Amino acid sequence: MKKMITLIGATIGGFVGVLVLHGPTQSTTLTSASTNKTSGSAKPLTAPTASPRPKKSTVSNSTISTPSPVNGSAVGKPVNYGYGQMAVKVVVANNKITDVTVSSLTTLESYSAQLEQQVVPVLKSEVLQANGTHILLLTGATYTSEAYATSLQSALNKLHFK
Amino acid sequence: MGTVFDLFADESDLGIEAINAAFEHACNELHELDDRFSTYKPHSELSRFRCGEIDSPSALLDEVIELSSRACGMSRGYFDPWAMPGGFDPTGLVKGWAIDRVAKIFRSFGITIGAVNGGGDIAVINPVGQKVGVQHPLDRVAMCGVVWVESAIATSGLYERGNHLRNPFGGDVAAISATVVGAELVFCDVMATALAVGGKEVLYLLEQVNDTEGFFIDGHGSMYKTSGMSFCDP
Repeated sequence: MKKMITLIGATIGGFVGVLVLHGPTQSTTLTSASTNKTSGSAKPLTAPTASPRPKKSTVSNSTISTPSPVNGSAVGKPVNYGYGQMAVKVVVANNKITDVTVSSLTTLESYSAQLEQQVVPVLKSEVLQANGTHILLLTGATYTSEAYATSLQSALNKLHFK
Repeated sequence: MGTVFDLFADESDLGIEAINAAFEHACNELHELDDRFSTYKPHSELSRFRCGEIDSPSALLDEVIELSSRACGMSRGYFDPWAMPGGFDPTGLVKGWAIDRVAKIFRSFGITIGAVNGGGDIAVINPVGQKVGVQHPLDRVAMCGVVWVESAIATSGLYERGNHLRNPFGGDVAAISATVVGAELVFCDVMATALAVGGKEVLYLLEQVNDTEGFFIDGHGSMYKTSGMSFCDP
């Protein structure tokens, strides 16, 4: 498959809200487009981090451009998500979010212990390393968006990406 | 729906503006569906329906009720939105259905190569299909297999959100991870949930459904799969 445009599309529960408010400049197409809508229609933003600073549209953000484009990657702070902690890594190239991944995820000791009781140490199922393959898509159990959004915002803050 | 959606489209396929328009449309659709079907929003149509405040459901809610009924039958009650605490709760079906709808939007905008990934449930848009890795339930940076997907794949498991699954028949949940590949994501999603809950019994059901395959990994790390379930090289 050729190069894919990866965008974090929508997330229910306020992730979009977060991206919108502090988020990408003009080139991060989808997100800013939908976010304009979100703030324009005055929908309630559920993410706690989103509500305190309502901003105008992201378009105005891009016109008042910052002196130098933001580049780099950062890992957000680990955030509790109910069964443990997750941290999100974001990559920004030329003021555009190019990748967002979950960089670490730990489960609570109590929950891990609970899992271990169910699981015999040696898996008969195969363990394949994802690194170095050309797999773009991964199917897996659903994680929730709130911790994801919070950690993502902290990663963006580390890059001074407004 | 409480999760994160990733949208993919091949940029050589269409202009960036058409892709942006499709993505914007997709986001609007997801927000609208979330507003309508969230059980966390007290004024959503679904919440009001659950409280008995809705006499005539919208066409969309009607469709979800109808799909829920089919899914309940297909899974022989292992997926049963009417058996949930607090009344009718089709949440396990709405996400897959919403992703199917977004994939339709993509196609209507002319996207021929792309994907919609909603919290690990994926609709693939590609004339020849595409590889999808299945996350390992015990090692999140590893995979337990790679599957060639022509249309849809869903995974249900206990490892990200803890024990949120429930066996309507009162027994234990059979699997720590269950994956189903098929034509429509809505039914893959439902059957993956059913497979995680029911294990071998649901695997036998899947065996009888054409063009739908699946596998699960139990608490001992053993993998069980339908006879037609095949894996490809990473």
